[in-house]
Amino acid sequence: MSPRKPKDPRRWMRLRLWIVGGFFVLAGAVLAGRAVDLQVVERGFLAAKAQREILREVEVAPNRGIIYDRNQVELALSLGTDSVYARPVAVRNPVREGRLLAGALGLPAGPVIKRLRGKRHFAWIQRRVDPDQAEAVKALGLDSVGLVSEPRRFYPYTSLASHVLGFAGLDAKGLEGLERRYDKVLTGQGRRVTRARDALGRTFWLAGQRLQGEPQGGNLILTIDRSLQYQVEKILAGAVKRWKATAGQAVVMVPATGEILAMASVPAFNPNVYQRYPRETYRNRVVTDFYEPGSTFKVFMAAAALDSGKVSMDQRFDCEDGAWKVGGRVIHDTHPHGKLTLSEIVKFSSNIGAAKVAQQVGPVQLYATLKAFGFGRPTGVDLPGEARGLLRPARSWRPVEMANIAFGQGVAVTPLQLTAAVAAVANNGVLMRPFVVKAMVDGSGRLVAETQPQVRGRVLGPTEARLLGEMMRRVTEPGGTGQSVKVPPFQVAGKTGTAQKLKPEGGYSHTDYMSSFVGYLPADDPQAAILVVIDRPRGRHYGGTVAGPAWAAIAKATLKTLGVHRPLSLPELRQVRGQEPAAPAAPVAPAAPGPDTVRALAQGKAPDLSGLTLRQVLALAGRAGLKVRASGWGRVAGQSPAPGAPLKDAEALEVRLAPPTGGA
Amino acid sequence: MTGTRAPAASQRVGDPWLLLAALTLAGVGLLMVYSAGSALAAKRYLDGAYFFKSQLLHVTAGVAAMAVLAFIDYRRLERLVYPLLLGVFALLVLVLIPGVGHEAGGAMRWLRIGGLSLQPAEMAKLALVVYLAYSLSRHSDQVKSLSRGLLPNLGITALLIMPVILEPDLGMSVILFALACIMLFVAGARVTYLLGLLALAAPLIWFMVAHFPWRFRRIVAFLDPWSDPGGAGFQIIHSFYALGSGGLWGAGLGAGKQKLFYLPEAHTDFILSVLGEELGLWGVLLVIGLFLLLIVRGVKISLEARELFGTYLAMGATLIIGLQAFINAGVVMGLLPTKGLTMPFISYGGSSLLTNFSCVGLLLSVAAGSRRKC
Repeated sequence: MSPRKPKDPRRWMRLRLWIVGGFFVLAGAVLAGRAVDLQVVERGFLAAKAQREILREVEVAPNRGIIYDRNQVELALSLGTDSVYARPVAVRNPVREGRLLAGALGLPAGPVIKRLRGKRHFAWIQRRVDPDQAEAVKALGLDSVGLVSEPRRFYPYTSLASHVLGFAGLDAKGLEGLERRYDKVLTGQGRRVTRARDALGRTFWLAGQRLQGEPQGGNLILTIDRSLQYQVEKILAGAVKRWKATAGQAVVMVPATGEILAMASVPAFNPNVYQRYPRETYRNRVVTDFYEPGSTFKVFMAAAALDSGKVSMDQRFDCEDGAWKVGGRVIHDTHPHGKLTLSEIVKFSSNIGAAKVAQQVGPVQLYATLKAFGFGRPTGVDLPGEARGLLRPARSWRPVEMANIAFGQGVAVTPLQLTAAVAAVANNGVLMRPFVVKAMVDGSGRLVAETQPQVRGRVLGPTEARLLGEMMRRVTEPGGTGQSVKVPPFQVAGKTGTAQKLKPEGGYSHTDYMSSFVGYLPADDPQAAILVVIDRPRGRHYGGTVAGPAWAAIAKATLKTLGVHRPLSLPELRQVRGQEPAAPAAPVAPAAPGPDTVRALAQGKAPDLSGLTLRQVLALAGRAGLKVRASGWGRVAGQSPAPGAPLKDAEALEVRLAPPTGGA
Repeated sequence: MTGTRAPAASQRVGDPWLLLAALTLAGVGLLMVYSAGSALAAKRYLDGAYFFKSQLLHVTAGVAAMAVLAFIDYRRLERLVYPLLLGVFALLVLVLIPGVGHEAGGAMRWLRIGGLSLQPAEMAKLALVVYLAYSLSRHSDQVKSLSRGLLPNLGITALLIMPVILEPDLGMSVILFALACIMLFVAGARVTYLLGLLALAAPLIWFMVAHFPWRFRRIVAFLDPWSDPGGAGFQIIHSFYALGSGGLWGAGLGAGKQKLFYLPEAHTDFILSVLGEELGLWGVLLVIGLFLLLIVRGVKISLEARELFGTYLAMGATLIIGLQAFINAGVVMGLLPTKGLTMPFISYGGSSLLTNFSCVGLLLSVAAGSRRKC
């Protein structure tokens, strides 16, 4: 072909082969250089960009804390509920998937299909769905649809203690009650965490990344006893219904400590669905509302008299047979009385007597005593929206006004103020701050803060307090206005109240009353101060008649809850009193089931289990073939059937546990 | 190699270094397929090891094919040239028939036979190389002729490329074209003719690119990936992210993040990015080094071949592996526009493994042949 013949064609071929090989070596060098460029030179820039895409800083909201009753029963808690979302960009057939999804959720198909259209990466379909609906959605197996857990506030006992607890809204913000007051504690600290996500938006964990649990808000342990609260609410609602009243309030307080065992207000609401109730039902009237206390206030008139030393116990006041003119106005008694001692004035609830005692004591002393008992100022209870009531200073009192104040008119008190004041009488004249939060515990159960009983002041000498208590005890004796209030075998110290309500246009109504009973028991060893107020009863209005039976029923339930079974004898009393200032957290020697316990079981009677641990109870019950239902934690503090009662076949043994050194 | 102590082993194996390079690459590939594909496999097949198991099967089959080819005399292929060419052509046409060919990602590239999935274009490379080696060695004196040397060979090449273009698989077409050009160059074709051919092909390729908007976008994305990071530049940018994140030492095997659905085709075309992220620069350099070793040994075998057919066959087999490896690496590193080509031995894919191991088998056979002569 070619005029020039190559000497060796293979040599040229070899050269060309080497050229090809050399080209590859060169290309390899270029590739290596580019790799160095990307992986070393540009590394910082590229890695940062990649990180920015993968890592997302997210705020992890803490789980809202739990509100427990005094026995660690959950009254308010947050549970994860599923919310359904879709990734419209990944939806292939919006109509088909939309129909399926709508079917599973029980929604109209149209809006769901609409949400599935478009190129968005995220769209809520339905938030906080029921567990069955979540299951149904899962069962569809749609790639483009997912579930995320969102916490929701639950109040397992629905309306129980609703006014105390209040509620938290959908965004987990406390709006009323303790939920509002302790919102910061319950919410806790959120945490900003950097999470890595894959391109489908799923979180994954980086090697070496510290796994942290969900942040947890603080928990509250209340002084409220769920079971007692339930009974109080039931009894109160029954009384309100029976008397066709518009409302009612009840408080149970431990006089020695100020702990609130129960606080109820009727009508109640269900915080799970608070939106369905009118706003005014949210109000905890026990602390936010005040009313003219009426005759219950005579207790404090008597306290002022005792404190002043100006009135002797046998001094008699002329009660003018039911009508007495003072300062241009006539005061009436419901029943005409002749000459009465201070004690009798309280027992028969004479307005005229009260006015005369007040005159003798004088406005300065009366005002000082009332102020000391906490009227006209907040009690400092740890609930939001507390009212201070109404107590004008003594200088502004005209004679008729002072007379009125002596029997509870022209002043206004909150139910809690009144309860706390009566509790001070029961507590040897020492006024305690009422409280509902016993302790704060962090997410992992460590105690953060414990509420110590707080003395607000001595309002009465011990002798005077005992004398006053004796006067109140006589109220429930035959002839007294509270004679129908009986909680055998215990003696009750109390005072009735029948206050006429103020008419909107001024003056007192003759049809609308506030009927109340306030008192404590057992009279000789006060364990509970209780108030029952019935607002606007129909038919009857006397405090003893309307509020009395409810009071007695609540008192009975309270004593049962507290485990007070019979009046203590004097030596026993001394023993109990002696133990009161027990060394804190002293380890309690584990009580062992004694021979009596075993013998009782053998006889088919309920043994006395108090002080035993749950494990011991279970061991015993196992031996006897009994079922055990336990509540709370700690050691046995209460049981049913009571010790000595016969055990019926197959009946479960109920025990209530309480921490050995805890509280009341 | 040079030692006289182990001639027996060398003779048996042909070229141990070549074998070592190929097996190491396949081993690295198995690891990387497992790592890069597990997230996708778990999502698609509910089995994170799905791709790994499949790849393991194909590596085994590939090694078997390699062994068979290594132990038979490559010269027997001369008699099989036309049946092979015809068979592959038939498959290439078959894949285009709707219903027979299996479509994926908008292209008909696969044949489903029983449970097996076959990519005829992979075999086309092998058939083309065998044919050209045969033709160029048979008519070595006519190579410089345009009408009797260049055009017939180009005709056969075009015959194989046409159906591949129709699939469409432009990347593979370019590989086939480049294979033919380089082999013609090595065989002694006039450089002026080849340059003229390139000048002729350029407008054709331009038409192929401009006619299909997605190819055009790929070119634009190649030139400036950051102009459309969410669209056309998405893949190459995430490849950069992977390589950049890997740095010198890498995040560690399995610890890559771009494979978590950020980087498309992480276990196939862009497996080198994942390798770079997990094994770092050293891993990438190792892979490039192994391919260079393979190429250099291939060129050496080609040079030492007993006769021209062996030389051209070895050259072609080396090119099949080397060209595609370096083009793929260039794509992954943003030096070449995205083609849709896999990384030999490393990317997931059965047909590709079979072809590449067959190439190694042929190279070993040629090497063994030349040793027998010595």
